[in-house]
Formats: sequence, structure tokens, C-alpha cells
Amino acid sequence: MTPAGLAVRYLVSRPALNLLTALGIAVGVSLVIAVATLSTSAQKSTQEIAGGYQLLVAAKGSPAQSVLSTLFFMEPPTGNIPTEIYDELRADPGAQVIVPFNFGDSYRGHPIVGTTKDYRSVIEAATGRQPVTTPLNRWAEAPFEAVLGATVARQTGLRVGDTFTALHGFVELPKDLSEDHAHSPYTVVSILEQAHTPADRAIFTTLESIWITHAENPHLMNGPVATRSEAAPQEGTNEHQHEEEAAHQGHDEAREAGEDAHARTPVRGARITSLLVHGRSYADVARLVAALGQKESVQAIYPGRVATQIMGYMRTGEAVLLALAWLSIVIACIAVMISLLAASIERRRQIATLRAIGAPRSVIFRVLFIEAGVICVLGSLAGAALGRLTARVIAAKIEATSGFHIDLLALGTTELITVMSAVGLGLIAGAVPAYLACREDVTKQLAPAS
Amino acid sequence: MRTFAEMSEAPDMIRMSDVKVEFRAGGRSFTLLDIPNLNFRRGATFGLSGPSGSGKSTLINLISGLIRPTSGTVCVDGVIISDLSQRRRDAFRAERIGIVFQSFNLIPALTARDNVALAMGFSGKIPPHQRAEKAAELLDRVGLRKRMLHKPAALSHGEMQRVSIARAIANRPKLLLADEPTASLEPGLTVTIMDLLVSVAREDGATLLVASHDPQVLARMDELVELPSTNRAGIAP
Repeated sequence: MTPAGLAVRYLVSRPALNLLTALGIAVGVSLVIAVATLSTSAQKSTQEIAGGYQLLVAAKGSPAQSVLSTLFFMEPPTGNIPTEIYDELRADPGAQVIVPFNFGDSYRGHPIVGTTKDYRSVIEAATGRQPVTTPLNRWAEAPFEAVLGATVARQTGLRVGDTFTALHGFVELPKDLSEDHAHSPYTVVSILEQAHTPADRAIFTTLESIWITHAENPHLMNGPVATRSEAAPQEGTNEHQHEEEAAHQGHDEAREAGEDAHARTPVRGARITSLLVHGRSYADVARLVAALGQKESVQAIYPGRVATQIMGYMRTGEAVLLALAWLSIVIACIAVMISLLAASIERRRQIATLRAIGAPRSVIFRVLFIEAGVICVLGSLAGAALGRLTARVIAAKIEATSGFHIDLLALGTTELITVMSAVGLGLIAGAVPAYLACREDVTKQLAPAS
Repeated sequence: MRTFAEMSEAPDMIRMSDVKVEFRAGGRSFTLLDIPNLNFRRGATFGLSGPSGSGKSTLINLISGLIRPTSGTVCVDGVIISDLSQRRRDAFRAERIGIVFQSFNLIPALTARDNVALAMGFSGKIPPHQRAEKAAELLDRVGLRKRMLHKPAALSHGEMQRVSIARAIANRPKLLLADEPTASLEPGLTVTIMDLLVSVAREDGATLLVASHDPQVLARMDELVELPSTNRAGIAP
């Protein structure tokens, strides 16, 4: 019988203890892998989503909030910006693509995003392929036409042709607390194929839909409703002095504006929440940033940079979690050492017997070392599988609750390094009792009982 | 009973000369064994007697190469094992010496057959694919073929000692050592086990050296060697 065979027999002879010891390793490894996988994958997903566009123009406030609001639909916006900014950018030859956003309403917890067909380029930038709708290439063109993200369609059961009524605000409140837009029902015109981006949990409509809805309910607007002629509007503020007088006028114009989704002059009192801009060149982007910087209440943000900052905040938490996870691996390895130390003490007489019948010290060392190795390898592999499973479950949970899709990276170096490190640590821990066992005084243990 | 001087003149399996085993404790040196000259004839059976602490177990350990003498020479089967390295003594023991213990000392995680086959693995004399079959034959020889797949916990004391004997002869050793082999057995089993031990030693032509207090055991030996009481941890300066 080889040392490996003997080690296996010993392992099998006390299954519960060895399984518990391996479980300790598995838990530690799974924590490391889950945290590292989720973190790395989340960073990659964030960069894919945020990195697709060079510039985000939004009302002044927290850049992180603006990015999370516009790109991930995860936070309320910082405010609104005047449509003139949109007009100016569209007139600027340096701006290649401009995607406008309007927020404010939701349906069963899913944000309703007023935008244009150009939003498809945001999905394309994140996924690397053109978004597919059913029916094919059908986007919201007229006011109150809605395109559902795949998750929205699945969770609400809405189909093409169905109608629904939006609620004001970003979260679903009890009926007595919420204010609906029953007068402006939406009609589903198409459903997006699953893109694994925030688009999956959003409802897309035209800019005008939001303008019309809120012109009918001016008190629901984030910013003041004002006529374009009033110009130099109170950007991104919450002033209300013009609300009432603008309301009636705004409603009529909104309906008219809906006929031309890309009209340069939108409805009276119209607002844009934010704009994603892709410049023709970096020089153009820099120039646009400088120009926008001159404007009050408007901020030009580099989404990729802000996403990196957000990831930086996350990395602090990740570092703490990883440290704790590695600590648990170290503790599990100490448990391996204690378990094998106890085993070698329990087997002192057997070890002495093996030596007496000719087993060299190396055999004794190898038996215990292999036992440590088997426990650590099995624990680490189980931990790797458990870690991936945990990451998958958490990613699914995050996507279900926030709509942020974390595209888990394929098995790679993280898993390999973690497994190898855990096995290495376990072997070092196992080497201690193995060494002590092979140095045991044989004759003392073999002495006949008196 | 033969004296050391008489023993030294016989054809020998074991030759010991000027052997001293000492240990130090508390800054003082204690002598465990002091044997000027002692030989054991090849192929015979020897009873090793002496009062407790006379060094019987130490002598067994010395002959088996588990310990080295503080001074002197121990020659077993023509090899001065007291000069061998630990590793070579291990190999020598695996190939040429079989040991039967008082407490059987079987590996609980292994079946009777695997306990016997285990010893074969350390000598390398028997190819791996033949070990299970050879172990079964040896267990058959000690009357335990039907119990060969049982683990020690399922065996009686007498059966465990039979397995221990089968393990000791697994590599057809030239020297069999037994330290109080019947001390843990029920009185009725002493004769049976000793007869078995002596018979397998004779069949294999092995020299048998049994340390025991039991007159029944010693009576079955060809020759008796009584360790003098002076070997009782005599205190040296």
C-alpha cells in the first residue's frame, strides 16, 4: 500500500471531521472567489456600460448620482437641464451622437425613460451588437409609445399592443400615496431582446411623452415649466413660480411637439434630464466640456472616469471583504493543522508501528501531508464551485433588485490563484503535524503496557 | 540457561559486543543496557527474560535498529546495523526483521489483509500486484483467511495477534522479534499463539527472539537468556 493509499484510508476512517475541515476551506475559498469574481465582473460591466460614451451632461450635483441615474437607472437624477443645451449640442458639428434622457415616471418599479432612437447606440456600445426588438426595428416614435426592456416584459407580463399607466416617481408606492398619469396611457409597441444591460429593466418612450405627461401635471415636474421664449431658464432648480401659468400652455404645445420627436423647439416648459454625448474627436469632447463648463447649473462628466471612481469606492469595501475571506482561509488552514495534529497524536502508536515495520520517516510525513493535501484540494475545489455559485446567485439578485447586470467572467486566474493559494497554505499547515509525526520517538510509543 | 560467554561462541544471527545504551536526564547519565558480549544463534528460538526494567524491550529495539547503542556494536545477519543511517536501518528492518507487539499494533483503518500487505510495501520484496494474494496466504497460514476483510475492531485479541504474526512474517524475515506477545491475550490463548509463532519461525527458518515474563512462553523457546538485574538502569557517573 502506498502512502497515498494509506492516507485515503485514514481520511475515510474519520469522514465527518475531515469533511468539516474541508468545508472550512471551502467556505473561505468561496468567499474569496465570490467577492473577487463579483467585483471584477462588476467593474468590467460598469466600464462597458459607462465607457461607451465620452460625455454625460446633467444638472449640477453628484457626478456619481448622474452616472448611476442616466446609465444605470439606479438613482434619481440630480435635476433637469434646459432643452437649449440639447439644441446647442445638436447644432455642434463636434458632437457625433447625442442621446437625451428624461426621467420622472415609472411603471411597477421600472423607470420610464424618455429618449430617442439613439438610445440603441448606448445598448450597442455596452453589448457590442445592435439591440433587437420584437417587432424588428420598432422603436417608440410617437408620444406614449413604449418599448419594454426584456425584464420589464417578463415581470409585468405586458405584450405588444397592451397599454399601461405610469406612476409619477421612481418607486412604486401604495395607491393612496402615488400619483398616476391615468390620462396618458402608454401602448407597448415593441419589446427589446435581453441585452444584460440596465435597458432590460427600463421602459423607453419618446421625450415628448414625458413632456406631455408632466405638462398635464406641471406640479410633477422636477424643474419649473417655462416657455422657451422665457429663455435662460432656471436650470435644474425647483422654483415653482411659473408652474401654474405655464401648465395650460405647455399641455397644448406638448401634444403638438409629439408629432416631431426630434423637433429643435420642444414643447413649452420642456426639460431634459441628461445627455450622453459622443464626440467626433477627443479634441471636440474637450472643447464641449470647456463650453459646458461655462454654463450655470450644468455639469459635463466623463462617465468612464466617474465609473472608475465609483469602482474605487467599491474597491475599499472589496478589500475589506477579501481580507476577511483570506483570513477565513488562513483560519481554515490552521484548522487543518489542528485536525492533523490531533490525528497524529491519536495515531502515535500506529505511526510508531509503521516505523517499526520498516516505514521510513518520509512515508509518515507523506501520509499526513497527503491527507492535508486531499482535504485542501477537495475543500478548495468545492469552494471554487461554491464561490461561482454564490457569485451567480448574488449577481442574479442584484440584477433582479437593481437591474444592474453583472456579466460574470469566465473561470480564470482568480479561481486558479485562490485555489492554488488555499492548497498551498493548507499544505504548509499540514506539513507541521506531518513533520512532528515523523520525528516522534518510536520506542516510547511501542513500549509494552506495564 | 546459557551465559553471555557461551552464547558468543555459537554460530550467530545477532552479535553484540560492548553495547551500552545510556540516556541523560537532569544532567546525569543513566545506563539502560550494558552488554559486554551477546550472540544469538541463527535459526534458533530464544526466550529473553529478566525483571522489569532490565532492558528487554531496549534490547529488542536495539536489535531491530529502532535505536542505536550509545557505544558498542550490534551486528544482525552480518550487517552492523549500529553503524547504519536511520534510513538504511529502516530498510534493513523492513527486509529482514519481523516484529510482533504486545498490543498487536494493527492499523485500525485497514483490513486484516491490508495490515499484512502494508508491511510488504516497505520492503519492496513482493511486487504490488501480488501483495493482496500473498497477504491472504499468510492469513490462511495463521488460520484467519475467513476474517481477512475484517478490520481490527471486528477481531478478537487472539485474532489480532494472529494478524500481527502474519504481518511480521510478511517479508519472510530472517529474524523475528516479539516483545511480550502474549501479555495482552487471555491466558488460554498464550499456548496457541506461542505455538503459532514458534512454528512459523521454524517453517521459515527464522531466528525468533521473544521477550517475556511468562514461563509458559519461555518454556517453548530453544534457549533462554536472562538479562542480569545489573542492567536495571544502573546509574553511572
